[in-house]
Amino acid sequence: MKTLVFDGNKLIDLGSAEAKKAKKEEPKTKAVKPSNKAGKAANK
Amino acid sequence: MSPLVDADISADTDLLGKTVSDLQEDIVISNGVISGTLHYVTGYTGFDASHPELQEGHFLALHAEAEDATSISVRPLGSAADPVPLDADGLYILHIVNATGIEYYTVIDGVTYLNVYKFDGLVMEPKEDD
Repeated sequence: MKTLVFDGNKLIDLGSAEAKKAKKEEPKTKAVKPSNKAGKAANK
Repeated sequence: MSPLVDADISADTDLLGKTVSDLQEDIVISNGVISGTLHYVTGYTGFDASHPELQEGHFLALHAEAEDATSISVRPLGSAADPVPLDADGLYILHIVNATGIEYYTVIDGVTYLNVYKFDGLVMEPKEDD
């Protein structure tokens, strides 16, 4: 017996257990904004 | 070999903690149209214990079978997700949200079939006041 979720006519969730298996863990990355302070200081 | 999808499930069949009669009444599938009544269900922890938001609302239990099939699966349209194989009982319970019908694929022994059903004549009972 499987459980499925439909929202707006579309099948969006393939049951709790299956959905969890299907979901790939997104890599935990943090965006790093390059600092421009050194360049500004040098230009002064 | 196209799948036979119906709602011919005994009213007292246990569906993960609720019976068929708890979920629905007089469900008939004919010519791509599903009619009957869906009751408003609360506390359906068996449907998805980890998501309380999925334990309340309207649920439709269906049954799929195909002659001589060794495997029946379902998968969404427009998705690369792997099909979910149905168990030998062919039963699956649908949580219906904001839908006027349902569209999905059934995969039988590797062959994909499109299922489209409209909810014309399907009564979704409102939540009863406490």
